[in-house]
Formats: sequence, structure tokens, C-alpha cells
Amino acid sequence: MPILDNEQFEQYLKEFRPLVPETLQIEKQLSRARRRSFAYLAWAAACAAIMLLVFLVWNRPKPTPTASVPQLAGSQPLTIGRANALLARAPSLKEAFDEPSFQPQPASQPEGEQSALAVLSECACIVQSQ
Amino acid sequence: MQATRSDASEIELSYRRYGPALVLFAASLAGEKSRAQDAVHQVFLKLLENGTLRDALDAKAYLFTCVRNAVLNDRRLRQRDVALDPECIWFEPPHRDFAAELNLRRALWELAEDQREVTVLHVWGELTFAQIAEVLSISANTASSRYRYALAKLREALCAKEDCRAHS
Repeated sequence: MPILDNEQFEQYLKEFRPLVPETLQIEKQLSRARRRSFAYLAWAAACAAIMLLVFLVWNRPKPTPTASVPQLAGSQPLTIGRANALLARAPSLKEAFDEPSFQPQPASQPEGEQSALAVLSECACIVQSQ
Repeated sequence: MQATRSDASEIELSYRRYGPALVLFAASLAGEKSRAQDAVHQVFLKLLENGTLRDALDAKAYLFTCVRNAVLNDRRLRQRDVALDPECIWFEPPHRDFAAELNLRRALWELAEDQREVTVLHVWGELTFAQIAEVLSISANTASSRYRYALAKLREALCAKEDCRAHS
């Protein structure tokens, strides 16, 4: 080894580099923390979505009877098919019966169609006569 | 109080930056690298659990102080003298000259502990004498004179070993 002054000797010593130590558990802890925060975030998002859903369901505009019960046009007669459709779509049986009863009756039936009331009254007459 | 994410990142960065010098410093006190590594890990894990490095005026000097305390505490608990583990290398030697590495390690180990500390802190820890004074609770002048003595002894020891190698 040549004789070196202090500065050169220091440089020579610095050529020996300290070994890099083993990985600290910091990285594992950090990734665990990241995973944990992601899980919290997911839970928060799920809770927010549920709350929003509940809020929307709770504040949904209530159906008004006039809007929900299908109206019959003044010119449309009440046929069995339409009565069935009314029953199927009306929110309650009462509303289904109420609505057509306040509708103006058509003046005449189109050809080939019969009024449900007429059919029912015919049936009633037949039953009475028997 | 657990370190926040930014604190943890800062601590992680400090480990990457100063880890090699800290482990070397701990090994120069403990003799064994595994014990040195444990001491350094212990310090960093405590930092992660308890808080932050931001409060320290000089984070680098603070880390070296913490590591020194951890090694000395461990040594006190074991209540026995430490010996140099010849199998465990401390340095990555230039040109893969592992004989020179062993010579340097032995020469360092033969120094008085206070001189060895100053040498490691100044050469490989890159601490100024003022910082070393803070770590070791001595004056900067004392640190500087210890370093001069240590450097002279190291050079002598290494030259003698080099001569031996050249003649053998």
C-alpha cells in the first residue's frame, strides 16, 4: 500500500462501501396500511351507495292514483280485455273499479266489440230467466 | 401515536439512505452483524410506532444516536464483551478484494472503541465533527483529535498487513 496523505487515505477507506442492510419491514407495513386503507375506502363507498339507495327509495315520488291507473279514453269502451288490463296495472282493486265507473260511457260501440257491462247484463238476464 | 403515511415514507427513505452506514456503525460496536442489524431495525420500527423524525433537529445525527443507544443497551443486557465475527463481512470491497476487507475490519476492530466510533461516523456515516460531537456527547475538538489518532493507527495497521501480504 503506497503512503497516502490523510485525504487520500480517507478516499481509499471510502472505496469500501458498507453493505446494504436487509429490507426493513417498513415496506410490508406500508403495503399492509395501503391495503387496510383501500378496504376502508371500499367499505365507505359501499355504505355511501347503500345510503344513497335508501334515500332514493325513501324519497321516490309517490304514485298518484290518476297517474298510476290507466285512463280510458272517452271513446274507448270498457271491454273484458281492458278491464283485465286495468286490474293488472292498477295499484289496488278499489282504484281499478273506481276509475272506469267515473268515466263517461261511450255513446256507441265500435262494430265487432261488445261492452263488458252489456255482456254482464246479458249474463244476468239469462241467469234470472233460468 | 403511530407514524402517518408521510412520516412512514420519510422514515423508509432515511432507512434506505443511512441504513448501510447505520448497520456498519452498529456492527463496529456490536461486533456481530446480525446484532447490528437487529439494533437498526429496532430503532426504525420504534420510530414507525411512536412518531416521526421531523421533531429531530438533525435527523441523521439523531438516527446514529438512537442506533448507538440500542447497541449499548443490548450489550448491557447481555453483560458480556463483544468479539469480532470474522465470517461476517461489513464492506463491499473495491475489486472484490476480500482480504483487504478483512484487514480493514480487523484494523478497525483493533482501534479503541471511541476512536472506532468516530472513524466510522466520519468516513462512512459522513457526519461532520459537530454532528459526531452531538452523537457521542463530546466536543467537536475531541472528536477531531480522536479521528486523527484513529486514522494514523489504521494506516499503520493496514500498511503493515499489506507489507505482510506482499512478502508472503
